[in-house]
Amino acid sequence: MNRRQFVQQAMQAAFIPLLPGIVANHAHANTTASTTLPGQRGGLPGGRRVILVELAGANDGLNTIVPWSNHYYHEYRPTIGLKESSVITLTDDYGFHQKLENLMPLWESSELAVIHGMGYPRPNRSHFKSIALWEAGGDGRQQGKQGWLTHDIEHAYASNEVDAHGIVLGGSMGIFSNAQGNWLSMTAANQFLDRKLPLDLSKHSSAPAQHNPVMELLVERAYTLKASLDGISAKMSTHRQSGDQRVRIRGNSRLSQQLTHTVELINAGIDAPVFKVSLSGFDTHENQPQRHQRLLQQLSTALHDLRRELTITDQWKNTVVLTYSEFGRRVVENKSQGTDHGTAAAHLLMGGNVSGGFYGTAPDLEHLDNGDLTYTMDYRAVYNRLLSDWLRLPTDSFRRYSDSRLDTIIS
Amino acid sequence: MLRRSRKYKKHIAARLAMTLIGCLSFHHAAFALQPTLSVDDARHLLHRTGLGASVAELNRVIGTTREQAVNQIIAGIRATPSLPMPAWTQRPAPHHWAKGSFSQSERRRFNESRDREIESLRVWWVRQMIETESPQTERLVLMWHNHFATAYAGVDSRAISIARQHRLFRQHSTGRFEDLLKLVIRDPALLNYLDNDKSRKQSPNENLARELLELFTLGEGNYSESDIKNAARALTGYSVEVVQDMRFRFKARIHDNTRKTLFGQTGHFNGDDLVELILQQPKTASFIALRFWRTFISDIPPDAAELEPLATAFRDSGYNLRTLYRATLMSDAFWSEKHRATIVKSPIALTIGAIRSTGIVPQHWQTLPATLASMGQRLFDPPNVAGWPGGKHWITPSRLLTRLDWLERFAMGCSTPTCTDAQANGHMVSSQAGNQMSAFSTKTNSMKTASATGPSMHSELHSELHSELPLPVDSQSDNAISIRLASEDFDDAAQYQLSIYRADKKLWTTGAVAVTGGHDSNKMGRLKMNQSIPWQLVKFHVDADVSHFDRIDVEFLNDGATNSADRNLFVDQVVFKGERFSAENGQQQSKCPPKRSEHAGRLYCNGTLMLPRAHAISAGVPAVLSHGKRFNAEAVYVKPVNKNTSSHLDFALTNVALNNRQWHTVGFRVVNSAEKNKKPKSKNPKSNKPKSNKGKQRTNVGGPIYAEEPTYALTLHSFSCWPDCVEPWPECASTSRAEPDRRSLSFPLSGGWKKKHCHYQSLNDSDKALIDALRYNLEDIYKRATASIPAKRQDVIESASRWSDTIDNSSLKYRQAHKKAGKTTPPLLSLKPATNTDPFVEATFMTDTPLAGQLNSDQLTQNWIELTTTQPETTLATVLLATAPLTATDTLSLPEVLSDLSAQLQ
Repeated sequence: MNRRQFVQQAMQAAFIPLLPGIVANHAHANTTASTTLPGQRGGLPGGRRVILVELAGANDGLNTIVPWSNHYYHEYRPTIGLKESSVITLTDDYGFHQKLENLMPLWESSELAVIHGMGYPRPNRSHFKSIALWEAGGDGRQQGKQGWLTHDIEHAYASNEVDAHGIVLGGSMGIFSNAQGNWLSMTAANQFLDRKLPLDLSKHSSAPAQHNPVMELLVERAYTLKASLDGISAKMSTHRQSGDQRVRIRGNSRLSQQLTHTVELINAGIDAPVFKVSLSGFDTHENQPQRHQRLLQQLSTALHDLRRELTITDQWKNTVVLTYSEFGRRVVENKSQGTDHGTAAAHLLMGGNVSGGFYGTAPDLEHLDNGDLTYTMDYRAVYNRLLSDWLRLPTDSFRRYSDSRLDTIIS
Repeated sequence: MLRRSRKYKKHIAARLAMTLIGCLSFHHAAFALQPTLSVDDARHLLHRTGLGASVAELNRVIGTTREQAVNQIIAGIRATPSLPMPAWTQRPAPHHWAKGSFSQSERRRFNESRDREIESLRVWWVRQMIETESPQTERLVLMWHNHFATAYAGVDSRAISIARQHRLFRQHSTGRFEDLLKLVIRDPALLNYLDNDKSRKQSPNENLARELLELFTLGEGNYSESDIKNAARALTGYSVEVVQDMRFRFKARIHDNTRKTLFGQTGHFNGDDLVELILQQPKTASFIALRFWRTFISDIPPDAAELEPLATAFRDSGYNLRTLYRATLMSDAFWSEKHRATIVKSPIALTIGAIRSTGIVPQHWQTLPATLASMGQRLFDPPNVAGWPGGKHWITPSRLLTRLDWLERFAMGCSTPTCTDAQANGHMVSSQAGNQMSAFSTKTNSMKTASATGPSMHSELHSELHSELPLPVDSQSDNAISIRLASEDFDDAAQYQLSIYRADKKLWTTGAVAVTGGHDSNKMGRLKMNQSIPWQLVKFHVDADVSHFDRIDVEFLNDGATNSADRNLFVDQVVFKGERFSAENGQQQSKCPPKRSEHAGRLYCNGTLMLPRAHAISAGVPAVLSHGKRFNAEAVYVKPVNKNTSSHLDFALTNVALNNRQWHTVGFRVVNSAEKNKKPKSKNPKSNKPKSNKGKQRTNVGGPIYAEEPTYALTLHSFSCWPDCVEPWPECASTSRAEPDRRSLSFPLSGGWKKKHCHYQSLNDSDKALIDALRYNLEDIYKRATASIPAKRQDVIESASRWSDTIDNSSLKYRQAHKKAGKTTPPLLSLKPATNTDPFVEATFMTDTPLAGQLNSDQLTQNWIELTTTQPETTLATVLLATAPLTATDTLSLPEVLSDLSAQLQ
């Protein structure tokens, strides 16, 4: 064989089914986008989604879910500790910060779970490092290398079965880091409304001269992106024309804006298993009482309204919301009416199919580890429930963290 | 994905077989002689090793042999950058150790200054990459930055350590790997990033050890968990001395000196031993060879047979990186057709490559760091210790969209949101945007003409190049005013007006100016604050008499928004006549002023940022401290201690000048020797219960109580000053058994004055002067230092206040004794007035356009003629694309070439 023959043969080989999967998928995507309703992704119990709410800066768990009757709590926190009068008491031991009042309807209808003592072994106190651990499912011994739910979601749904595998509306893309699927970052629901791929794929008629996996991946990505842009754009456009779609999420915070866009996307039928939003400002080293109550007010108002809006469109039952944060804060207050970087903290899980109430046991305030709480619930046990019980994915990278105390948290 | 990759592998195997057959016959027939580089080969070599390839670079290697070309590249590698690093990188480290004594706003300003420094380093590096004669050096430095990934976000704002690490990679990019590793385990940025600076023998931190084995040398699976534990022990004590210019320090006291077993060998290993043991593991060579493979040959992993020759060459050379680099570039795999166009360009290769290949430097080139960040490659901030994963991760949907957008705008010479739309609709871009736009509109014009008449490649490229030649800017001009700003654009670019006032009378104004290169919020969504802000410095010439001006205003003229897009203006600072006007010290008048006054520069509504001259600060390097018989310092601190101790109190002075000597830091301790000598220490078992017996008197359990009168001394030690407190340290200085490198000197404050203490007597006069000055001024130092403790640090105030009487008494006694001895009075301490200086050194930013003076249009034309004469088949696509374009057209314009998907690969 001489070079000419070789090249010709290579061309022949390349011309044959160059991108079979991609072309077929692309066609498939066009049909499913218009006919499939959310809730039927890939034949799996879908339509279900998770909304992750990052409390950036490290929320003070003790002043959110308050051990109001515990005398150690008041000794550790003589000035910023919350008195009974500023707590909504839920049990003899615990209560909400009073600014979580807006969450009371959820609590009363048993749609809000409080999970005590979430954390991980060998805690890291750096914001940067610890949030990276939470977002990648790592701990003080081993950093995770990719976003905690990306692998299992990509495995469950092909890019063309969803409009996006996940959408970040606030904060960093860290939670989707190193992912391979269709993970998008948007700052507004209509950002892709009239968005076109700055590239005319129809002109890309000829096949590459050689079989090149990298080129094929690139072409596939371009088609995925185009399908995603076209799909989201079309759905948003239809939705816009279908009458009054005003979404009301009060609070005028970044979080309320992000959740407004999230609801718009959901109501327009944008199918994505994960949304991520963020509220920042929780790094309350100083002057915590005022700052923290403002933040919790913003949080509870926005979450309350999220539920209301999604209930109107019957999507609340398909939604689970989880808060997370890099770590909790130190038990002993500092001299600046604030708290420094700590370890474990309680977090909230809510949704139409969540069984409300307390889960796990709160860390022991009497026996601190060098002034810090010892975590009582590996945060990855909650990830396990979300992947297995809620999204019901065929694989679950966190199965080994399964914790029977959470057996009934999601029905 | 899994299924597909298996399929790919089969394809590759089949293809490899064919390639081999093809190559064999090919070689046999045509390449009996040593092959010389074609245009394709030249582009391949340069794109892979450098950043794009200019026509001149191509001409230099076309027709040479591979060996000649590779030699040429290797000979060009430099250990120092052609563009000097920003000035702050040459100065001592800022006083990070003093942060504990800062108020919240001081701390915020301090950290923001560090953020500005790292931003200036990013701008510097981008410019260095655009201008350098050896882009290969930059690629190697980038490779090491990615390999030993350290993020600024994870090092406590220590910009200086990041800059020094960068310098380290530059100096050792192609040296001995052993040297590089031994320096890396001593690198203060990495030690802090991976928490090794606090790793002590009692509780070793395994972070650095694990990453050293897993990510830096051996790779997963080639070591045991026990190796990690032992490696961590070997690395204990490898730490950083924050007070001493943030330098590396081996802390013997916390180093685990006991026996360890590593890779089956046992000994009293330290970090260097660890490195040597690692290099005895054959897998290390393979792992580093794999890094070179991924960087230079392919995103597709090699099979063992392809990698082994590189690993062997590396190992046999005693881990010489230059040998590995050469072996990589001379390997058959590197030149194989199979591996062409199999690397996804990093954002740097994509953007800087486009700039260098075409010679077009966008006027808003300073926003490139933000562009790179939006594509996922924020310089000095890799996402984690594994570095940027690269390959397919560069082309996730969101990033691919950003890349395609950027290339489109770059190729069309677009700098405002409406630009590409206007192009698409066949409209000309109006030049309403003033002088900033002129270069672009010129180019846009020529572009239009060019594509209309179907020009030769030559004239098209030439017109591109010609129109982009930067205008000469006299950066030293006294009449230059510069503003550092960024914008969020929506439909149109943000417009602003910069004006100079005296007594409310406008002396000079720019008129309305549109920001170029702002963030397009229509397409990209809203800007995330503190992330990827496209800052740039824009310069104007003030052609009016503005003497005695008292205010500078920046006015935002065309606010606009929908609920998803927004037009806003962000101002950081204005510099004029050697004075810096920081936006945070200004005042915003608008309908929506920010909640926090320091955010005055964020204009979300039409309005004015007013910058009164009274709040301006000197923009230059901090003033040189005065000489002569003086004792000056910039600031005085009480250093907070973690434990409540009554045995000592630590002080530190910054930027000290005494007579003709200067110190960056002088730290000393006042010791109550009676307390200190209490032995054994009363152990206070750590109690987790809150202290309920607060007011209770301290009792000494189990130790003799020294009834003697407490005596006080002032002590200095080896690590308390920078540079060293005294030079040389006298023979009789005390040493510590636990820490042999720690020497200390004590000078009595009360009692014992008459004793001829050798600590004092063996000092030279100039060192004695320091001790005298500190002792003589102690009361003053104490008062000033305690006065500057922020009110919120009650703990520090409390512990310091307990020393008040002691200091008063001993200081008085010292002064009396001093007088009695008939010595001359030491100079009194004066703090440098803080009115016109900023204790937080701020970064300065470059304004000039890169390549200024280097690009000559005649020369470029000449280069292109030379290329097309010798290689008549050459087109823009051959020069720019790693493979045949997917777009099926004969001749492609520059925008068409760059928008082709092949432009994403190299």
